[in-house]
Amino acid sequence: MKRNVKKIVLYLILIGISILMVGPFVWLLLSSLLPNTNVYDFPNNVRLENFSISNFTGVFEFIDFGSFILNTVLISGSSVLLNALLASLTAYPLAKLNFKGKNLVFTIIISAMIVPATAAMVVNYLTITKLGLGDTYLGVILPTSVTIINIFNMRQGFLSVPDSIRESGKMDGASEWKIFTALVMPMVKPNLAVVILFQFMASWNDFLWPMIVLNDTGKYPLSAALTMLNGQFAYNFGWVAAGTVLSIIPTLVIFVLTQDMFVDGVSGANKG
Amino acid sequence: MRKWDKKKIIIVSLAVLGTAVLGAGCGKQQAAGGNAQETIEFWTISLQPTFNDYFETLFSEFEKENPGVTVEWKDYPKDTIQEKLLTAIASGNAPDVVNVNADMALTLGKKNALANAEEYISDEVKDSFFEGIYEAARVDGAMTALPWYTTIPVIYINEALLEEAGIPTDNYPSTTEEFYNWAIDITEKTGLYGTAMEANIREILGSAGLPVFNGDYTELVINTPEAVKVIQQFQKLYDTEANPKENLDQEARAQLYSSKQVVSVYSGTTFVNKFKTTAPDVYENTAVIPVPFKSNVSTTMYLSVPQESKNRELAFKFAEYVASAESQLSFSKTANTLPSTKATVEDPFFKESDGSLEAEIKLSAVASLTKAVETPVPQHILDKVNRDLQDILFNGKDVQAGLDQIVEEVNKQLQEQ
Amino acid sequence: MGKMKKRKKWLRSEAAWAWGMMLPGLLVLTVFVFWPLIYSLPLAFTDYSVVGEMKFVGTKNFERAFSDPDFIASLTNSIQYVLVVPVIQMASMAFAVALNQKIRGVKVFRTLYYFPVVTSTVAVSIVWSWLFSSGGLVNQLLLDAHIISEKVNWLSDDSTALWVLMFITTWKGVGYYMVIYLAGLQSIPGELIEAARIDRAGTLQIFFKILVPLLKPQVVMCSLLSVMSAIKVFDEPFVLTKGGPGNSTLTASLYIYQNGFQNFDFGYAAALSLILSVIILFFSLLVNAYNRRK
Repeated sequence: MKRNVKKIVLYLILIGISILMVGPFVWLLLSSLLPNTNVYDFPNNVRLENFSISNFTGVFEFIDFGSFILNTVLISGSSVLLNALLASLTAYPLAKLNFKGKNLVFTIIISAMIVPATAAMVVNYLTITKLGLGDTYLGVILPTSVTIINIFNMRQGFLSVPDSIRESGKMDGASEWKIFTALVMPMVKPNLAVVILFQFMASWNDFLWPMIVLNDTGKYPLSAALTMLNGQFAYNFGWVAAGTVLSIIPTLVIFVLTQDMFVDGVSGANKG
Repeated sequence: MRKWDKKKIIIVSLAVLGTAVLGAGCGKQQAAGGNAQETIEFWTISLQPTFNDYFETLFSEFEKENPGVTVEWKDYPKDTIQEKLLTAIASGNAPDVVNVNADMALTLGKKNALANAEEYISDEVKDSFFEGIYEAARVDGAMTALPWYTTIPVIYINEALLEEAGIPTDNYPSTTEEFYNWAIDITEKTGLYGTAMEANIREILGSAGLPVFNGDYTELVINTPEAVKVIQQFQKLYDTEANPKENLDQEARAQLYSSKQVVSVYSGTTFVNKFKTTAPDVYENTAVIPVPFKSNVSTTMYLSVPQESKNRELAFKFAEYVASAESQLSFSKTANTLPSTKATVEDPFFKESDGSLEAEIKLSAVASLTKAVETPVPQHILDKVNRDLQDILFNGKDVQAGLDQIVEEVNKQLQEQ
Repeated sequence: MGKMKKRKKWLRSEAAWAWGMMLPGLLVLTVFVFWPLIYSLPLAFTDYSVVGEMKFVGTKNFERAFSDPDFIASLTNSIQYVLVVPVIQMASMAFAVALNQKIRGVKVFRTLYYFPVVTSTVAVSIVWSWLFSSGGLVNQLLLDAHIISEKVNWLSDDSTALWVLMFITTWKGVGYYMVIYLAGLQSIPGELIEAARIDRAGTLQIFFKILVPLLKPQVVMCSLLSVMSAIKVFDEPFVLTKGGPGNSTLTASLYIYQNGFQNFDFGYAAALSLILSVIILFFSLLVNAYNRRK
């Protein structure tokens, strides 16, 4: 009896917070599904006969959604892979290996996070054009192919791996590389999942840098293409809402997919 | 099972990376191909893809008249064009013709980054524009830009709300004072906000025909006795709750107007797009009148040629072509904007109405185009002054003392940079 | 001979592995993170607009900064913004713990709590500015509940505007840190909590006495990240208030952006950035010291 009451209270709290967290998004979603009604007349405009997907078809007609999605998948996919790879490789020695200059390297990396580089975008653009990568996807991806936050996050994961794992691997005569890939990596699955999730989100949402690098609008990722909906002539709030809703879906899918990895990742690895 | 997973991951990774590199290769080839003939790189703000057809026709005609010339058109959103332009100039890839507003022309002109148009255009071209709009681009004697399309504010009125309160809809104000009293009266009778105007120094002083800066943009002049009087008068709208005490950017005004919290709104001709689809009921009931103020503060799009452009002569020839009365007329017809050329407004298009709200807006706007003034203020200074102005207006502070302080602070900043 | 052997030995050493593994990552960081920094720092002593010539001006930019009332105000606001850090961290930790249980629908709740993180700031701000407008839902609810007696202009009143922005930041940030804490919780053995339960320890007791200390690595990392992003906050004031009314929501990053990208005054902007980074450094050391003492 008491346990049930407790459970009900817990659910009420969880649901209450959910409303606060998702409420604004629900309004956005409804606005996108209720064209030709006064969206500020909420909730009076929510009537079954008003629902229509015309805002979504409008967005699809206005911009070539399919090809922009493809561009984005290409950019975000490469960025996630590179970050997962490079952040793991960079963070592992900083957490687990002994070598001269370890603290210095880590301190330099962390201080780079503290000091904001005002003209970073301008300088990086100059670098990219000098490398001949202007107007290319590689130019978009390369500067964020490994970020300090991701290194930081992976290092945190490696730190929580007990030293005994490495020692037992050595005892068995495994090489450093073997220990890293076969023994340690499976134990930091939750952190890897977080890196994948956060990097996907960051690169999916970034629009300024791709627009700086790319000259050909046809190469734009979706986030940059969606800014076209905000022009003064084309402005249609229903379309903006629809575009926002559409652009959120992939990040949510990634969240749902990675969720199992960062919540049950460790126990899963042990079982396997 | 696990091995297969690993293989799959590796294959997918390689595929993705390969495509990215391939993409890099393609980009380079394209860039190399473009150098064969003369090109004009033209940047606009937020016009793609809505007006692709118009521009393709426009460019092909220019290319026909000028054999060997190709126009390369790029379009960027308003929020990123400044960054894009800056990085382009820094890396030596500046466009030949770029669409800027008066504020940006002023900021760039002050840094000597824009070519002087008057060294390239004829007096005839110069005289084809509305003077108030043309002269606004003059910075330290040099003409930093040619005017292109423009928009000016009108007053949007929700007549249904007036009728509900029994306020006549056939007798609208025609002077500033009448307008303020009208708004205050509406608030008293309806409990709604009578009007929604932004606490924006440019709009308030510009509407009264007063300047924000001295001639060479070295000193702010917003605390003259005339300016103080104008702002004190404006403050009455807040004291009587006739104007919302909010940061009324276009988005906020659209929300208030769509949700029927304000009866009238002062805003540009494209404002209609902000409520047409989100509040169709309000759109139905909206009427439009020309602004009843002494002057009308326009927001004009200009065409500038960066100093860095490799072919300034051709660039100005192109800018002149895009901004010509003829091109502007066809653009007005396509985009429902206003022209900055005097000859264009003589066209029957600007005198006829099909009864739609958009047509009414056009007529009201054209009626006050002759009293259009453009008041450039560098963006960061405008932001600062408006922030402090809001503080004075919203919180009922003393206007004279407040303006004196703004002027002192900003003039000090202007001297230091 | 001896030299070769030595080299061979080094190649098999941990140090060789370490540098080899870090090489690609450090290369990217050097070109795209360290180089812009090295390039930007000296700008603080120049008058540089990107489009014009660069002039050396000594410490003039710093002198100007310390007598610039707008900059001082923006720093104060940025420092006040740090108050969101403990709130975000406590809330996200609580969410993580609550949603780490094996209860029905927990995955759905996790996803729902993550919604604010994925929605773009621009879209979010349209909704919030609407909710916080004078005729908006927030006022209606508070009036109905008799918490306030008359409408408040949340975003236009200089005493509330910054707090509203801080609320939105919190709302948007909680889900982000919740993910990191959820990942961290996976390395805490469930038996530990079960044992505490059997010892009749209360939920709060378990939270503060067991979970918080065990999550310390995550707490350190999240607090640091959170402090840095709080002091550098830009999006919310940029989209919602442009820093007004008065200077009440002008943050340091917004002011730096206005000087750099709007006025092309990169020399001054670089000097302001440098001052800001000293403050961030101070807070980071504070977080570190605090965590060490615990």
